[in-house]
Amino acid sequence: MTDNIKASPEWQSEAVVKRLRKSTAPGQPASVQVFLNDDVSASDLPAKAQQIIDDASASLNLTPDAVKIGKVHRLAKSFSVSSDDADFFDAIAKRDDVKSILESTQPDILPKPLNVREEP
Amino acid sequence: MSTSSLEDTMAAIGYAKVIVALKPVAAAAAVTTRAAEGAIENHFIIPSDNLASSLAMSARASASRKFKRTESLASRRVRVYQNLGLAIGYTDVSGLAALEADPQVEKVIKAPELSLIRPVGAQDAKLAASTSWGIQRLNVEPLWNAGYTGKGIIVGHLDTGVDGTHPALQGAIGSFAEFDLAGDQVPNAKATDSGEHGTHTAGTIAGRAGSKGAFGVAPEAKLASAMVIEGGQVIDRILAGMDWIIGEGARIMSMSLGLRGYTPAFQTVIDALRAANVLPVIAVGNEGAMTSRSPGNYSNVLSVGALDANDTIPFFSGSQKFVRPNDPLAPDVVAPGVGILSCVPGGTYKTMDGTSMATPHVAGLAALLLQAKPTATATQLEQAILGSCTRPAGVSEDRGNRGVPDAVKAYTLLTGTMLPAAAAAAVAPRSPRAVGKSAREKMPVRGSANRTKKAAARKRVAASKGKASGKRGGSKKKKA
Repeated sequence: MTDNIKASPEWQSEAVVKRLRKSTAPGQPASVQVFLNDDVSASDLPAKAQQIIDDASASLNLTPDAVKIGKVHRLAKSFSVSSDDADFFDAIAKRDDVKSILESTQPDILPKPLNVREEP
Repeated sequence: MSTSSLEDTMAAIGYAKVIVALKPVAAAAAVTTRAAEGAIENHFIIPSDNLASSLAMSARASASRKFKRTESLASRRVRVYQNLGLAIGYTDVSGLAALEADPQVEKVIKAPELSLIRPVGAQDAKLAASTSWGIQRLNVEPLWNAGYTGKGIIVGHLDTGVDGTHPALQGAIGSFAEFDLAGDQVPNAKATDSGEHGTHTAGTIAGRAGSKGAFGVAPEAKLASAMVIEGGQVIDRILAGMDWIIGEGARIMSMSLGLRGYTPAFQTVIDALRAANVLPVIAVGNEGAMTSRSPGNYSNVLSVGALDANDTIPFFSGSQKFVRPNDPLAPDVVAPGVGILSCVPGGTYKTMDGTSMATPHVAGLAALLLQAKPTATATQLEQAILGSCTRPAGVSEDRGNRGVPDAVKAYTLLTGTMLPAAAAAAVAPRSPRAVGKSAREKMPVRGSANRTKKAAARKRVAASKGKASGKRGGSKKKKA
Protein backbone atom coordinates (compact mmCIF):
# COMPACT_ATOMS: atom_id res chain seq x y z
CA MET A 1 0.00 0.00 0.00
CA THR A 2 1.21 3.48 -0.70
CA ASP A 3 -0.31 6.83 0.03
CA ASN A 4 1.27 8.37 -3.09
CA ILE A 5 2.30 11.43 -1.19
CA LYS A 6 5.48 13.26 -1.96
CA ALA A 7 7.95 13.36 0.87
CA SER A 8 8.22 16.58 2.85
CA PRO A 9 11.01 18.82 1.53
CA GLU A 10 13.35 17.84 4.36
CA TRP A 11 13.00 14.14 3.52
CA GLN A 12 13.45 14.40 -0.21
CA SER A 13 16.66 12.74 -1.30
CA GLU A 14 18.26 15.96 -2.47
CA ALA A 15 17.79 17.51 0.97
CA VAL A 16 19.12 14.43 2.75
CA VAL A 17 22.21 14.33 0.50
CA LYS A 18 22.74 18.06 1.05
CA ARG A 19 22.83 17.50 4.79
CA LEU A 20 25.13 14.51 4.35
CA ARG A 21 27.57 16.67 2.39
CA LYS A 22 27.84 18.89 5.45
CA SER A 23 28.20 16.07 7.95
CA THR A 24 30.68 13.86 6.10
CA ALA A 25 34.34 14.46 5.46
CA PRO A 26 37.30 12.18 4.77
CA GLY A 27 37.63 10.01 7.86
CA GLN A 28 34.27 11.22 9.16
CA PRO A 29 31.70 8.78 7.79
CA ALA A 30 27.95 9.01 8.03
CA SER A 31 25.46 6.19 8.05
CA VAL A 32 22.38 6.14 5.90
CA GLN A 33 19.31 3.96 5.85
CA VAL A 34 18.33 3.04 2.31
CA PHE A 35 14.72 2.09 1.61
CA LEU A 36 13.99 0.17 -1.57
CA ASN A 37 10.88 0.12 -3.68
CA ASP A 38 8.11 -2.33 -2.88
CA ASP A 39 8.71 -4.35 -6.04
CA VAL A 40 12.13 -5.47 -4.81
CA SER A 41 11.80 -9.05 -3.63
CA ALA A 42 12.56 -9.53 0.06
CA SER A 43 14.45 -12.72 -0.70
CA ASP A 44 16.69 -10.88 -3.15
CA LEU A 45 17.34 -8.07 -0.72
CA PRO A 46 20.88 -8.91 0.46
CA ALA A 47 22.05 -9.39 -3.12
CA LYS A 48 20.22 -6.27 -4.24
CA ALA A 49 21.76 -4.21 -1.45
CA GLN A 50 25.22 -5.43 -2.39
CA GLN A 51 24.58 -4.67 -6.04
CA ILE A 52 23.46 -1.13 -5.25
CA ILE A 53 26.56 -0.56 -3.15
CA ASP A 54 28.86 -2.08 -5.73
CA ASP A 55 27.35 -0.01 -8.54
CA ALA A 56 27.61 3.22 -6.58
CA SER A 57 31.16 2.42 -5.47
CA ALA A 58 32.22 1.56 -9.01
CA SER A 59 30.76 4.76 -10.41
CA LEU A 60 32.95 6.74 -8.01
CA ASN A 61 36.00 4.47 -8.13
CA LEU A 62 35.74 3.89 -4.39
CA THR A 63 37.81 1.20 -2.76
CA PRO A 64 35.86 -1.60 -1.05
CA ASP A 65 36.89 -0.38 2.40
CA ALA A 66 35.42 3.08 1.72
CA VAL A 67 31.94 1.70 2.22
CA LYS A 68 30.55 -0.47 4.97
CA ILE A 69 27.19 -2.20 4.73
CA GLY A 70 25.14 -2.60 7.88
CA LYS A 71 22.07 -4.61 8.71
CA VAL A 72 19.64 -5.67 6.02
CA HIS A 73 16.00 -5.51 7.10
CA ARG A 74 13.93 -7.73 4.85
CA LEU A 75 10.65 -6.70 6.44
CA ALA A 76 11.32 -3.04 5.71
CA LYS A 77 13.17 -3.70 2.43
CA SER A 78 15.92 -1.56 3.80
CA PHE A 79 19.59 -1.63 4.64
CA SER A 80 22.07 0.69 6.25
CA VAL A 81 25.37 1.70 4.75
CA SER A 82 28.11 4.05 5.89
CA SER A 83 30.69 6.02 3.96
CA ASP A 84 32.61 9.25 4.25
CA ASP A 85 31.87 10.17 0.64
CA ALA A 86 28.59 12.06 0.20
CA ASP A 87 28.66 11.44 -3.55
CA PHE A 88 28.26 7.75 -2.77
CA PHE A 89 24.95 8.48 -1.04
CA ASP A 90 23.93 10.71 -3.92
CA ALA A 91 24.57 7.88 -6.37
CA ILE A 92 22.42 5.53 -4.33
CA ALA A 93 19.60 8.03 -3.87
CA LYS A 94 19.33 8.58 -7.62
CA ARG A 95 18.64 4.95 -8.44
CA ASP A 96 15.18 4.01 -9.62
CA ASP A 97 14.94 1.09 -7.23
CA VAL A 98 15.62 3.29 -4.20
CA LYS A 99 12.49 4.79 -2.64
CA SER A 100 14.19 7.02 -0.12
CA ILE A 101 17.23 7.48 2.03
CA LEU A 102 17.39 8.82 5.56
CA GLU A 103 20.25 9.60 7.87
CA SER A 104 20.48 6.62 10.21
CA THR A 105 20.79 8.84 13.23
CA GLN A 106 17.73 10.93 13.85
CA PRO A 107 17.98 13.16 16.89
CA ASP A 108 14.36 14.30 16.70
CA ILE A 109 12.44 11.08 16.33
CA LEU A 110 10.92 11.18 19.80
CA PRO A 111 8.17 13.79 20.23
CA LYS A 112 9.18 15.49 23.43
CA PRO A 113 6.54 15.38 26.16
CA LEU A 114 5.42 18.73 27.52
CA ASN A 115 4.69 19.86 31.07
CA VAL A 116 6.61 17.04 32.68
CA ARG A 117 5.93 17.14 36.41
CA GLU A 118 7.07 14.97 39.29
CA GLU A 119 4.29 13.30 41.20
CA PRO A 120 5.06 13.36 44.90
CA MET B 1 -4.27 -42.57 29.30
CA SER B 2 -4.82 -39.53 27.18
CA THR B 3 -8.14 -37.84 26.60
CA SER B 4 -9.58 -36.93 23.23
CA SER B 5 -9.21 -33.27 24.19
CA LEU B 6 -5.50 -33.82 24.65
CA GLU B 7 -5.27 -35.57 21.30
CA ASP B 8 -7.22 -32.78 19.65
CA THR B 9 -4.85 -30.19 21.03
CA MET B 10 -1.84 -32.20 19.94
CA ALA B 11 -3.28 -32.53 16.47
CA ALA B 12 -4.08 -28.83 16.28
CA ILE B 13 -0.92 -27.22 17.59
CA GLY B 14 1.54 -30.06 18.09
CA TYR B 15 1.89 -29.77 21.83
CA ALA B 16 -0.18 -29.46 24.98
CA LYS B 17 0.14 -28.68 28.64
CA VAL B 18 -0.37 -31.88 30.58
CA ILE B 19 -0.77 -33.07 34.12
CA VAL B 20 1.01 -36.35 34.75
CA ALA B 21 -0.11 -38.50 37.64
CA LEU B 22 2.93 -40.34 38.93
CA LYS B 23 2.69 -43.77 40.43
CA PRO B 24 2.90 -43.45 44.21
CA VAL B 25 6.12 -45.45 44.32
CA ALA B 26 7.81 -43.20 41.78
CA ALA B 27 6.75 -40.00 43.50
CA ALA B 28 7.90 -41.21 46.88
CA ALA B 29 11.16 -42.68 45.65
CA ALA B 30 12.63 -39.41 44.46
CA VAL B 31 14.81 -37.86 47.13
CA THR B 32 14.12 -34.31 46.01
CA THR B 33 11.69 -32.55 43.74
CA ARG B 34 14.51 -31.83 41.31
CA ALA B 35 15.39 -35.51 41.21
CA ALA B 36 11.79 -36.34 40.42
CA GLU B 37 11.76 -33.72 37.68
CA GLY B 38 15.02 -34.99 36.26
CA ALA B 39 13.64 -38.49 35.92
CA ILE B 40 10.95 -37.45 33.47
CA GLU B 41 12.25 -34.11 32.19
CA ASN B 42 13.15 -35.43 28.75
CA HIS B 43 9.53 -36.14 27.97
CA PHE B 44 8.69 -32.45 28.19
CA ILE B 45 9.34 -29.49 25.93
CA ILE B 46 9.31 -25.70 26.01
CA PRO B 47 7.18 -25.00 22.98
CA SER B 48 8.17 -21.41 22.22
CA ASP B 49 10.80 -18.83 22.97
CA ASN B 50 8.12 -16.67 24.54
CA LEU B 51 7.21 -19.39 26.95
CA ALA B 52 10.87 -20.11 27.62
CA SER B 53 11.46 -16.52 28.66
CA SER B 54 8.26 -16.44 30.60
CA LEU B 55 9.16 -19.63 32.47
CA ALA B 56 12.64 -18.35 33.10
CA MET B 57 11.31 -15.06 34.37
CA SER B 58 8.83 -16.67 36.73
CA ALA B 59 11.44 -19.15 37.84
CA ARG B 60 13.86 -16.34 38.58
CA ALA B 61 11.18 -14.52 40.51
CA SER B 62 10.44 -17.66 42.53
CA ALA B 63 14.13 -18.27 43.06
CA SER B 64 14.73 -14.81 44.38
CA ARG B 65 11.75 -15.04 46.68
CA LYS B 66 12.17 -18.49 48.07
CA PHE B 67 14.43 -21.06 46.62
CA LYS B 68 17.71 -19.25 46.03
CA ARG B 69 18.47 -21.59 43.16
CA THR B 70 21.67 -21.03 41.29
CA GLU B 71 21.29 -23.41 38.38
CA SER B 72 19.92 -22.42 35.00
CA LEU B 73 16.24 -21.97 35.51
CA ALA B 74 15.43 -21.53 31.87
CA SER B 75 15.83 -25.23 31.26
CA ARG B 76 13.25 -26.32 33.79
CA ARG B 77 10.68 -27.94 31.58
CA VAL B 78 8.57 -29.76 34.12
CA ARG B 79 7.45 -29.06 37.65
CA VAL B 80 6.82 -31.98 40.00
CA TYR B 81 4.59 -31.65 43.01
CA GLN B 82 5.82 -34.54 45.09
CA ASN B 83 3.17 -34.29 47.74
CA LEU B 84 0.46 -34.44 45.14
CA GLY B 85 2.23 -37.04 43.04
CA LEU B 86 1.75 -34.84 39.98
CA ALA B 87 3.96 -33.35 37.32
CA ILE B 88 2.96 -30.46 35.04
CA GLY B 89 4.56 -29.28 31.84
CA TYR B 90 4.28 -29.06 28.08
CA THR B 91 4.80 -32.10 25.90
CA ASP B 92 4.57 -32.96 22.23
CA VAL B 93 3.41 -36.10 20.45
CA SER B 94 6.60 -38.07 21.01
CA GLY B 95 6.86 -36.86 24.59
CA LEU B 96 3.30 -37.95 25.23
CA ALA B 97 4.03 -41.40 23.88
CA ALA B 98 7.13 -41.61 26.05
CA LEU B 99 5.20 -40.49 29.09
CA GLU B 100 2.49 -43.04 28.51
CA ALA B 101 5.12 -45.76 28.19
CA ASP B 102 7.08 -44.61 31.23
CA PRO B 103 6.69 -47.07 34.11
CA GLN B 104 6.67 -44.20 36.62
CA VAL B 105 3.59 -42.66 35.01
CA GLU B 106 0.09 -43.64 35.98
CA LYS B 107 -1.81 -41.39 33.60
CA VAL B 108 -1.55 -38.25 31.49
CA ILE B 109 -4.34 -35.74 31.15
CA LYS B 110 -4.62 -32.37 29.50
CA ALA B 111 -4.07 -29.53 31.94
CA PRO B 112 -7.05 -27.21 32.21
CA GLU B 113 -6.54 -24.08 30.12
CA LEU B 114 -7.63 -21.62 32.73
CA SER B 115 -6.82 -18.67 30.53
CA LEU B 116 -9.44 -19.77 28.03
CA ILE B 117 -12.31 -19.46 30.46
CA ARG B 118 -14.14 -16.44 29.16
CA PRO B 119 -15.66 -14.19 31.80
CA VAL B 120 -19.31 -13.53 31.22
CA GLY B 121 -20.31 -11.51 34.23
CA ALA B 122 -19.20 -8.80 36.54
CA GLN B 123 -15.93 -9.71 38.21
CA ASP B 124 -14.70 -9.18 41.67
CA ALA B 125 -12.57 -6.15 42.13
CA LYS B 126 -10.21 -4.53 44.49
CA LEU B 127 -10.52 -0.87 45.18
CA ALA B 128 -7.80 1.19 43.62
CA ALA B 129 -6.86 4.50 45.17
CA SER B 130 -8.13 6.18 42.02
CA THR B 131 -8.53 5.61 38.35
CA SER B 132 -6.82 7.92 35.89
CA TRP B 133 -8.93 10.39 33.97
CA GLY B 134 -7.74 8.80 30.76
CA ILE B 135 -9.11 5.42 31.68
CA GLN B 136 -12.40 6.99 32.72
CA ARG B 137 -12.61 9.03 29.54
CA LEU B 138 -12.22 5.97 27.35
CA ASN B 139 -14.92 4.19 29.39
CA VAL B 140 -12.61 1.30 30.13
CA GLU B 141 -13.84 0.20 33.55
CA PRO B 142 -16.88 -1.71 32.32
CA LEU B 143 -14.54 -3.91 30.31
CA TRP B 144 -12.39 -4.51 33.39
CA ASN B 145 -15.51 -5.38 35.35
CA ALA B 146 -16.38 -7.93 32.69
CA GLY B 147 -12.93 -9.48 33.08
CA TYR B 148 -11.20 -7.90 30.11
CA THR B 149 -7.95 -6.62 31.52
CA GLY B 150 -5.58 -7.53 28.70
CA LYS B 151 -4.74 -10.90 30.18
CA GLY B 152 -3.04 -13.14 27.66
CA ILE B 153 -2.35 -10.28 25.25
CA ILE B 154 1.12 -9.13 24.21
CA VAL B 155 1.51 -5.51 23.20
CA GLY B 156 4.61 -4.53 21.25
CA HIS B 157 6.19 -1.40 22.68
CA LEU B 158 8.95 0.44 20.83
CA ASP B 159 10.42 3.26 22.84
CA THR B 160 13.37 4.32 24.96
CA GLY B 161 13.18 1.05 26.88
CA VAL B 162 11.36 0.27 30.09
CA ASP B 163 12.33 0.07 33.73
CA GLY B 164 11.41 -3.52 34.52
CA THR B 165 12.04 -2.99 38.22
CA HIS B 166 9.31 -0.40 38.65
CA PRO B 167 6.65 -1.62 41.07
CA ALA B 168 3.91 -0.58 38.66
CA LEU B 169 5.33 -2.85 35.96
CA GLN B 170 5.87 -6.02 37.96
CA GLY B 171 4.65 -8.86 35.80
CA ALA B 172 4.03 -6.53 32.88
CA ILE B 173 7.21 -7.15 30.90
CA GLY B 174 6.76 -10.32 28.90
CA SER B 175 9.99 -9.82 27.00
CA PHE B 176 12.52 -7.10 26.43
CA ALA B 177 15.03 -6.41 23.69
CA GLU B 178 17.78 -3.92 23.29
CA PHE B 179 19.38 -3.37 19.91
CA ASP B 180 22.97 -2.32 19.43
CA LEU B 181 24.29 0.27 17.02
CA ALA B 182 24.14 -2.20 14.16
CA GLY B 183 20.54 -3.12 14.88
CA ASP B 184 21.52 -6.49 16.36
CA GLN B 185 19.86 -7.67 19.52
CA VAL B 186 21.98 -7.41 22.66
CA PRO B 187 21.98 -10.81 24.38
CA ASN B 188 20.45 -11.06 27.83
CA ALA B 189 19.60 -7.37 27.99
CA LYS B 190 17.81 -6.33 31.16
CA ALA B 191 14.66 -4.27 30.95
CA THR B 192 16.00 -0.76 31.44
CA ASP B 193 15.05 2.65 30.15
CA SER B 194 17.57 4.91 28.43
CA GLY B 195 15.30 7.83 29.35
CA GLU B 196 11.91 7.92 31.01
CA HIS B 197 9.58 8.18 28.04
CA GLY B 198 9.39 4.41 27.53
CA THR B 199 8.59 3.58 31.13
CA HIS B 200 5.85 6.20 31.11
CA THR B 201 4.21 4.91 27.93
CA ALA B 202 4.60 1.30 29.09
CA GLY B 203 2.80 2.19 32.32
CA THR B 204 -0.13 3.66 30.39
CA ILE B 205 -0.50 0.46 28.40
CA ALA B 206 -0.06 -2.13 31.10
CA GLY B 207 0.81 -0.50 34.44
CA ARG B 208 -0.47 -2.33 37.46
CA ALA B 209 -2.51 -0.39 40.00
CA GLY B 210 -0.75 0.69 43.15
CA SER B 211 -0.28 3.65 45.41
CA LYS B 212 -0.96 6.07 42.57
CA GLY B 213 -4.13 4.33 41.57
CA ALA B 214 -4.92 2.67 38.27
CA PHE B 215 -3.39 4.22 35.16
CA GLY B 216 -2.63 1.20 32.98
CA VAL B 217 -5.43 0.64 30.48
CA ALA B 218 -4.71 -3.08 30.13
CA PRO B 219 -3.36 -3.91 33.60
CA GLU B 220 -2.92 -7.60 32.96
CA ALA B 221 -1.45 -7.36 29.47
CA LYS B 222 2.21 -8.09 28.85
CA LEU B 223 4.63 -5.97 26.92
CA ALA B 224 7.14 -7.05 24.34
CA SER B 225 9.22 -3.94 24.87
CA ALA B 226 12.16 -2.93 22.72
CA MET B 227 14.65 -0.19 23.47
CA VAL B 228 15.00 1.42 20.06
CA ILE B 229 15.97 4.95 21.04
CA GLU B 230 19.29 5.52 22.69
CA GLY B 231 21.06 7.87 20.33
CA GLY B 232 22.86 6.57 17.27
CA GLN B 233 21.52 4.48 14.41
CA VAL B 234 17.95 4.85 15.57
CA ILE B 235 16.39 3.89 12.25
CA ASP B 236 18.17 0.54 12.21
CA ARG B 237 17.01 -0.09 15.74
CA ILE B 238 13.40 0.81 15.07
CA LEU B 239 13.23 -1.49 12.07
CA ALA B 240 14.83 -4.28 14.08
CA GLY B 241 12.35 -3.65 16.89
CA MET B 242 9.38 -3.92 14.56
CA ASP B 243 10.69 -7.20 13.25
CA TRP B 244 11.27 -8.44 16.78
CA ILE B 245 7.78 -7.75 18.13
CA ILE B 246 6.22 -9.83 15.36
CA GLY B 247 8.38 -12.74 16.49
CA GLU B 248 7.31 -12.13 20.07
CA GLY B 249 3.69 -12.68 19.15
CA ALA B 250 2.54 -9.10 19.60
CA ARG B 251 -0.71 -8.29 17.79
CA ILE B 252 -0.64 -4.59 18.69
CA MET B 253 2.30 -2.21 18.38
CA SER B 254 2.42 0.99 20.40
CA MET B 255 4.97 3.44 19.06
CA SER B 256 5.13 6.99 20.33
CA LEU B 257 7.78 8.21 17.92
CA GLY B 258 8.23 9.31 14.35
CA LEU B 259 9.95 11.74 12.02
CA ARG B 260 8.54 15.23 11.57
CA GLY B 261 6.75 15.66 8.27
CA TYR B 262 6.03 12.98 5.74
CA THR B 263 8.43 10.35 4.48
CA PRO B 264 7.32 7.17 2.73
CA ALA B 265 10.37 5.35 4.09
CA PHE B 266 8.45 3.31 6.65
CA GLN B 267 5.54 2.37 4.41
CA THR B 268 6.91 -1.05 3.51
CA VAL B 269 7.54 -2.09 7.09
CA ILE B 270 4.13 -0.81 8.19
CA ASP B 271 2.58 -2.82 5.35
CA ALA B 272 4.50 -5.83 6.62
CA LEU B 273 3.15 -5.34 10.13
CA ARG B 274 -0.38 -5.17 8.78
CA ALA B 275 0.23 -8.27 6.70
CA ALA B 276 1.38 -10.00 9.89
CA ASN B 277 -1.94 -9.02 11.51
CA VAL B 278 -0.35 -6.47 13.84
CA LEU B 279 -2.20 -3.23 14.54
CA PRO B 280 0.25 -0.30 14.52
CA VAL B 281 -0.90 2.40 16.96
CA ILE B 282 1.31 5.43 16.42
CA ALA B 283 1.52 9.00 17.74
CA VAL B 284 0.83 11.84 15.32
CA GLY B 285 3.32 14.21 16.97
CA ASN B 286 3.45 17.28 19.19
CA GLU B 287 4.01 20.09 16.72
CA GLY B 288 0.43 21.33 16.52
CA ALA B 289 -2.11 21.86 13.75
CA MET B 290 -0.98 21.34 10.15
CA THR B 291 1.84 19.08 11.27
CA SER B 292 2.33 15.35 11.72
CA ARG B 293 5.04 12.72 11.96
CA SER B 294 5.77 9.62 9.93
CA PRO B 295 4.73 6.85 10.16
CA GLY B 296 1.96 8.14 12.44
CA ASN B 297 0.50 9.98 9.45
CA TYR B 298 0.17 6.95 7.17
CA SER B 299 -3.31 5.93 6.12
CA ASN B 300 -2.88 2.34 7.29
CA VAL B 301 -1.84 3.00 10.88
CA LEU B 302 -4.10 3.86 13.79
CA SER B 303 -2.89 7.39 14.32
CA VAL B 304 -3.45 9.06 17.68
CA GLY B 305 -3.66 12.69 18.73
CA ALA B 306 -4.17 14.16 22.19
CA LEU B 307 -7.21 15.30 24.12
CA ASP B 308 -7.36 17.13 27.44
CA ALA B 309 -9.71 16.62 30.37
CA ASN B 310 -11.96 19.44 29.14
CA ASP B 311 -12.55 17.57 25.91
CA THR B 312 -10.55 20.01 23.84
CA ILE B 313 -7.60 19.37 21.60
CA PRO B 314 -4.44 20.78 23.15
CA PHE B 315 -2.46 23.19 21.01
CA PHE B 316 0.44 20.80 20.60
CA SER B 317 -1.49 17.84 19.19
CA GLY B 318 -0.55 17.28 15.58
CA SER B 319 -3.12 17.14 12.79
CA GLN B 320 -2.78 17.24 9.05
CA LYS B 321 -4.84 16.69 5.93
CA PHE B 322 -3.32 14.78 3.04
CA VAL B 323 -4.37 14.47 -0.55
CA ARG B 324 -5.10 10.77 -0.67
CA PRO B 325 -8.27 8.81 -1.25
CA ASN B 326 -8.12 6.77 1.93
CA ASP B 327 -8.11 8.27 5.35
CA PRO B 328 -6.93 11.77 4.37
CA LEU B 329 -6.87 13.09 7.93
CA ALA B 330 -4.32 12.36 10.62
CA PRO B 331 -4.79 11.58 13.44
CA ASP B 332 -7.54 8.98 13.18
CA VAL B 333 -8.60 9.40 16.78
CA VAL B 334 -7.75 11.48 19.82
CA ALA B 335 -7.20 10.10 23.31
CA PRO B 336 -6.20 11.43 26.73
CA GLY B 337 -2.83 13.12 26.38
CA VAL B 338 -2.71 15.94 28.93
CA GLY B 339 -1.82 15.53 32.60
CA ILE B 340 -1.22 11.81 32.16
CA LEU B 341 0.16 10.17 35.26
CA SER B 342 2.31 7.12 34.80
CA CYS B 343 5.45 5.49 36.10
CA VAL B 344 9.02 6.61 35.40
CA PRO B 345 12.31 4.92 36.24
CA GLY B 346 13.40 4.78 39.82
CA GLY B 347 10.08 3.76 41.27
CA THR B 348 8.61 7.21 40.86
CA TYR B 349 5.80 8.78 38.87
CA LYS B 350 5.32 11.80 36.64
CA THR B 351 2.56 13.47 34.71
CA MET B 352 3.28 14.35 31.11
CA ASP B 353 1.47 15.85 28.14
CA GLY B 354 1.87 14.65 24.59
CA THR B 355 0.52 12.48 21.83
CA SER B 356 3.06 9.97 23.13
CA MET B 357 0.84 9.69 26.18
CA ALA B 358 -2.36 9.40 24.15
CA THR B 359 -1.07 6.59 21.95
CA PRO B 360 -0.59 3.94 24.66
CA HIS B 361 -4.13 4.58 25.89
CA VAL B 362 -5.42 3.40 22.51
CA ALA B 363 -2.96 0.50 22.37
CA GLY B 364 -4.16 -0.60 25.81
CA LEU B 365 -7.75 -0.40 24.65
CA ALA B 366 -6.89 -2.55 21.64
CA ALA B 367 -5.43 -5.13 24.04
CA LEU B 368 -8.67 -5.30 26.03
CA LEU B 369 -10.64 -5.76 22.83
CA LEU B 370 -8.30 -8.45 21.58
CA GLN B 371 -8.76 -10.35 24.82
CA ALA B 372 -12.52 -10.07 24.33
CA LYS B 373 -12.20 -11.48 20.81
CA PRO B 374 -8.88 -13.23 20.35
CA THR B 375 -9.71 -14.18 16.78
CA ALA B 376 -10.18 -10.55 15.75
CA THR B 377 -7.93 -9.34 12.98
CA ALA B 378 -5.96 -6.13 13.29
CA THR B 379 -8.39 -4.54 10.86
CA GLN B 380 -11.38 -5.62 12.94
CA LEU B 381 -9.79 -4.16 16.07
CA GLU B 382 -9.09 -0.95 14.25
CA GLN B 383 -12.58 -0.71 12.80
CA ALA B 384 -14.15 -1.31 16.22
CA ILE B 385 -12.06 1.47 17.76
CA LEU B 386 -12.73 3.87 14.91
CA GLY B 387 -16.42 3.06 14.91
CA SER B 388 -16.71 3.68 18.63
CA CYS B 389 -15.51 7.25 18.44
CA THR B 390 -17.49 10.37 19.15
CA ARG B 391 -16.10 13.79 18.39
CA PRO B 392 -16.68 16.11 21.34
CA ALA B 393 -18.75 19.21 20.75
CA GLY B 394 -16.51 22.06 19.79
CA VAL B 395 -13.75 19.86 18.35
CA SER B 396 -13.33 20.32 14.63
CA GLU B 397 -12.97 17.34 12.34
CA ASP B 398 -9.62 18.66 11.13
CA ARG B 399 -8.20 18.56 14.66
CA GLY B 400 -9.99 15.60 16.20
CA ASN B 401 -11.09 13.58 13.15
CA ARG B 402 -13.39 10.83 14.47
CA GLY B 403 -13.00 11.87 18.09
CA VAL B 404 -12.54 9.78 21.20
CA PRO B 405 -12.92 5.98 21.34
CA ASP B 406 -15.38 4.39 23.74
CA ALA B 407 -14.35 1.00 25.07
CA VAL B 408 -17.87 -0.31 25.57
CA LYS B 409 -19.03 0.71 22.12
CA ALA B 410 -15.90 -0.76 20.59
CA TYR B 411 -16.53 -4.02 22.45
CA THR B 412 -20.06 -4.19 21.09
CA LEU B 413 -18.93 -3.39 17.57
CA LEU B 414 -16.21 -6.02 17.72
CA THR B 415 -18.09 -8.86 19.37
CA GLY B 416 -21.64 -8.13 18.26
CA THR B 417 -22.73 -8.58 21.87
CA MET B 418 -23.44 -6.35 24.81
CA LEU B 419 -21.34 -6.37 27.93
CA PRO B 420 -22.98 -8.17 30.85
CA ALA B 421 -25.37 -5.72 32.46
CA ALA B 422 -23.64 -5.73 35.82
CA ALA B 423 -20.32 -4.84 34.23
CA ALA B 424 -21.77 -2.15 32.01
CA ALA B 425 -23.59 -0.60 34.95
CA ALA B 426 -20.40 -0.02 36.91
CA VAL B 427 -19.33 2.93 34.85
CA ALA B 428 -17.60 6.13 35.70
CA PRO B 429 -19.05 9.52 34.95
CA ARG B 430 -17.78 10.59 31.57
CA SER B 431 -18.63 14.22 31.23
CA PRO B 432 -15.39 16.19 31.10
CA ARG B 433 -16.01 17.96 34.39
CA ALA B 434 -16.87 14.77 36.21
CA VAL B 435 -13.92 12.85 34.89
CA GLY B 436 -11.22 12.66 37.46
CA LYS B 437 -13.54 13.11 40.40
CA SER B 438 -14.67 9.54 40.58
CA ALA B 439 -11.86 8.01 42.52
CA ARG B 440 -13.33 4.68 43.41
CA GLU B 441 -13.66 2.71 40.28
CA LYS B 442 -12.77 -0.89 40.47
CA MET B 443 -10.06 -2.85 38.91
CA PRO B 444 -9.98 -6.62 38.84
CA VAL B 445 -7.26 -8.01 41.04
CA ARG B 446 -6.90 -11.64 41.88
CA GLY B 447 -7.15 -12.71 45.45
CA SER B 448 -9.32 -10.03 46.96
CA ALA B 449 -11.32 -11.10 49.95
CA ASN B 450 -14.57 -12.89 49.31
CA ARG B 451 -16.50 -10.59 51.51
CA THR B 452 -15.30 -7.56 49.59
CA LYS B 453 -16.07 -9.32 46.33
CA LYS B 454 -19.60 -10.19 47.28
CA ALA B 455 -20.28 -6.72 48.60
CA ALA B 456 -18.94 -5.17 45.41
CA ALA B 457 -21.02 -7.49 43.26
CA ARG B 458 -24.14 -6.71 45.29
CA LYS B 459 -23.49 -2.99 44.83
CA ARG B 460 -23.18 -3.38 41.10
CA VAL B 461 -26.31 -5.44 40.78
CA ALA B 462 -28.20 -2.89 42.85
CA ALA B 463 -26.83 -0.13 40.67
CA SER B 464 -27.86 -1.92 37.51
CA LYS B 465 -31.40 -2.34 38.78
CA GLY B 466 -31.60 1.33 39.55
CA LYS B 467 -30.48 2.44 36.11
CA ALA B 468 -32.61 2.93 33.11
CA SER B 469 -31.54 0.96 30.09
CA GLY B 470 -28.39 2.97 29.81
CA LYS B 471 -27.27 4.70 26.65
CA ARG B 472 -23.84 3.25 27.17
CA GLY B 473 -23.48 0.06 25.22
CA GLY B 474 -27.04 0.49 24.07
CA SER B 475 -26.28 0.60 20.39
CA LYS B 476 -26.28 -2.63 18.49
CA LYS B 477 -25.11 -0.99 15.31
CA LYS B 478 -22.44 -3.00 13.63
CA LYS B 479 -19.79 -1.38 11.57
CA ALA B 480 -19.57 -2.67 8.06
